[in-house]
Amino acid sequence: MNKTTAALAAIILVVAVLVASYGVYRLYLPSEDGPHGETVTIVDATGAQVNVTLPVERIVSLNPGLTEIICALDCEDRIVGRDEKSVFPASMSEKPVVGQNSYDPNLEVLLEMDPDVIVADSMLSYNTEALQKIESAGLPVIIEEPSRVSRVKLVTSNFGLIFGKEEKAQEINDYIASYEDLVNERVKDLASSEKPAVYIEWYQTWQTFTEGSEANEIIVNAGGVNIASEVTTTAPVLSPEYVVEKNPDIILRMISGDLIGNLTGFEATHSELINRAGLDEVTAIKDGKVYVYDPIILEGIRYPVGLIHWAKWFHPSLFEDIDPAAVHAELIQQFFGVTLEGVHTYP
Amino acid sequence: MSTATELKQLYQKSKKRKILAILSLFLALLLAVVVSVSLGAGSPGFAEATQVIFSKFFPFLNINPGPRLTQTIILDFRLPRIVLALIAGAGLAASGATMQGVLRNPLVSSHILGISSAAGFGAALAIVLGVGVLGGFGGYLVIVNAFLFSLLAMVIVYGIARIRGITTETVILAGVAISFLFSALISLLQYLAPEHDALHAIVFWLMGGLSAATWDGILIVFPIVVLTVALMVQQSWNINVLSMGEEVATSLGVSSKRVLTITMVLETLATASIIAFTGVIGFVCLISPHVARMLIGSDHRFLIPCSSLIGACLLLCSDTVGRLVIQPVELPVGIVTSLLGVPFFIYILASKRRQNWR
Amino acid sequence: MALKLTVNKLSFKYDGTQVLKDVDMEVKLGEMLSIVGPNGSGKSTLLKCINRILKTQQNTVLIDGEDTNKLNLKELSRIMGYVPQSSTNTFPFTVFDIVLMGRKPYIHWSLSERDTEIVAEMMDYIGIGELAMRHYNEISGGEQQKVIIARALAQQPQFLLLDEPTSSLDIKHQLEILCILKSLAKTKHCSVIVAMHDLNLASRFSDRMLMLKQGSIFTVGTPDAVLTEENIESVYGIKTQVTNSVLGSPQVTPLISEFNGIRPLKTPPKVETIDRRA
Repeated sequence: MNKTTAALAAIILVVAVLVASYGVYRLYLPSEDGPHGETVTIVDATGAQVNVTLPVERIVSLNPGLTEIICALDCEDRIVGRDEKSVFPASMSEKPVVGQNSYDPNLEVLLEMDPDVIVADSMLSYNTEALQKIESAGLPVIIEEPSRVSRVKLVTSNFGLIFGKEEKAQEINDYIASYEDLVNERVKDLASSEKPAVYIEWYQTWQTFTEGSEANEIIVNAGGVNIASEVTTTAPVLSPEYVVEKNPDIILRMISGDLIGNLTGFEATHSELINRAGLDEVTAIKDGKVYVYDPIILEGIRYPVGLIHWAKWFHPSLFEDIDPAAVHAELIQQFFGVTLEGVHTYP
Repeated sequence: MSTATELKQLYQKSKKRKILAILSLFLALLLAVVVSVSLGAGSPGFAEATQVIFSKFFPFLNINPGPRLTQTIILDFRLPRIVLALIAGAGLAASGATMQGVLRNPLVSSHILGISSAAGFGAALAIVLGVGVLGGFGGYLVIVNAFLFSLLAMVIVYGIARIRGITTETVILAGVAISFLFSALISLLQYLAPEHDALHAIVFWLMGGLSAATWDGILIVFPIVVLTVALMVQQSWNINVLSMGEEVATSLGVSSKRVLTITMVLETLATASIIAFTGVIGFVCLISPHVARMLIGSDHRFLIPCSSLIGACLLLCSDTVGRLVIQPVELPVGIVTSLLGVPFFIYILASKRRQNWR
Repeated sequence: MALKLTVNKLSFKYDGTQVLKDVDMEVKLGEMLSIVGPNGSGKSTLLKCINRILKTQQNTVLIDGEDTNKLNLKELSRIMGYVPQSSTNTFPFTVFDIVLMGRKPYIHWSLSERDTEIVAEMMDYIGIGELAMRHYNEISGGEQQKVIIARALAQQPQFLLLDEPTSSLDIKHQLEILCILKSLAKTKHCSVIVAMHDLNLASRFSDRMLMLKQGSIFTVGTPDAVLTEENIESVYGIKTQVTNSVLGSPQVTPLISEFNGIRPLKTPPKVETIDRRA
């Protein structure tokens, strides 16, 4: 290499190093604008301490269940961005979409919306890069799983706190608690022989929920016993022989995602189960106690609806005075101001 | 120096030995069936199983079949599964052996023509487009679509091969290309799938499983597989000759183009009809011919039947293992066969025994 | 029993290149004809055209006046046997199985007693009986060649075509095989057409020789007539001396002291030596 080439290379190298150093310096510089106003700290489902600066005027929600809670707290107008599935109440469809679901929000759009807080489900915590970028932009993220029924009231309270809607939150929680207590009262003294054996199926044929899952907890709360509760694997596919031998009294089947709201789909799913080869001698089939449900009734604010449905299916005599569909309609009217539409259970 | 008559006798003896080997395999298979029907997550064992089976198939013996529950478990769950495993294993293994011989390549499986990817895509399409309307994941639309797309793949491969000339090289290359194409399409579909339920369903379908075995399905697959495998065996001589090279084949009066076409069609029909019902089960079609070759040599008159028996045995055992290893939870059979396949291939590579190929 | 194979103005193009042009030849029953010529002169192609491995036009290859194109592959394979230059052998077959494949033109599905008998007889005749149950890939090159010939013979052909059957064999095996071929021809069992590049061996064993140059026939006739110093220089471009050997057939000896016609001697290019001690 001759002298001119060497000198040129050296200059380029020095310039490159300078530019790189400056870039690194700027990247790691702490952001200048700090938050103004009162700060509230809450602990979310992941155990993280989230600092939210009040007032919260701009919310982005990346989960339909969480969206419902926010809307029930009368904060629908504060939502500036949503995920694709957050379409209830109907007016939500007009709000801009930030991403398909919590896992993959469009970060540019998200940041442009300049939200005061972002709520998402646990899918976002799997996307560590996105999470890091959001946090380094100084945006608080609250991660909650609406299907975790034991936390629903806590989530509602937390939201009530940061949105300044503590009273409304209390109203919602009282409503939920009233049904929880009602069911618990009537089933808590049942002997195990009085509790029906329940086989619950979702996604794949023969796939079930086991101990530790939310569904299992709800089954127990509603006064039933899951036939697969002793199986240790999560969401396993069971051997059909096992199911048949356990001879469940009740069969619950979650509707598949693409058939939500589709009456024909519900009917077809129901009919497939009662006609499935090998199940004809099972008690649940013989007694006609096969139910297809939409998982939305078990999540978030609608948890009491699911609970009361299952409680009534398990113990019809104990809940003769209650009409679960009416409960659902009442909830929707009371907290969303609209009429309940569509099919959520079958029959 | 052996004389002609001595030579003849030598050959007859070796032939007898091969037939004996096949018969022993058949017996081993029967044993596997007996063991398999006696095991399961449910309680029926050997005694109960024989009771049920004998009373059902030999009603004149007037045997008490036992409680309805036991009958259901044996006749509705275990038996159809076992039968499907046998049919599928045999069909896939025979196809594998045939294609390896015709394409002169020991690494070829019955999926070489892109059939499994195409079937997967057909199934995925059916699932995503709303199988639900027809009733759950087991809807007939999935089966029919998977089958149709397999045939489509074969037609495309054949079409491509025709342009360049129907030789083993073009068929293999075209098959690989089509395989990649449909795999990519499946991924695309998964990405765009409106609900992650559908995504899940596709993944499960692609893993392959025998838990959906019904007698109706078996009634369809069985005759197809039996017919195609029989026709494959009939082509044995042509395949033998073809495996020595295309020029040699022509000089012995065998049109390689014709044999390739015929075997391609047979192989596709067999594999497609199996995959349509079981999803993609890998490795059986690859391992069985190799094991059979080690046992019985490369003469396809014996290789194809032997391969079928080994395939049936292999799939049956894999399925039984999948049913039992973490009972009552079931492992998809495709996972078990893939897991078995890996150590097997390492063994083949490491083994210094007579090379099974050049 | 076919008596005569005629090749009539056979031309063959491959990818636009004219490989053979207007080849005429005749082979009578019991003859051993060798086809010689430089690499690329079309020897292999000629053989493959005769037995329809390569497609030819109508009425170019005739057996007793009948166009072979009118026969189907199976019928043709009962008349012509082919021993290729090299063998693909993907899967392990026993020697017996391989020779047995020679019966393919005659069997439908099951073998008859006669088929196995014929195979056994051919193997015995060629002398590979002991190798019957051995695997093809485990025997020596010379033995492998005999197996392939046995397979071609199992076809009970009237014309046996061989493409350089002795190229990779040692001297003993070369002679063995050529003796077998010669006796096949002499006993009128079949006619033998063999492409060879060894002029001396061809001269010793053939009844007639056909010399190809760039796809056309240069000359054809008895070894004496064909192997002349002028012919060889014209076709191969080297100077030789042709003498009569102890056995009466002409022998060709290349004259190595004369390099004209091959490349003139050049000095190799200078390479700078690097002083490694520096």
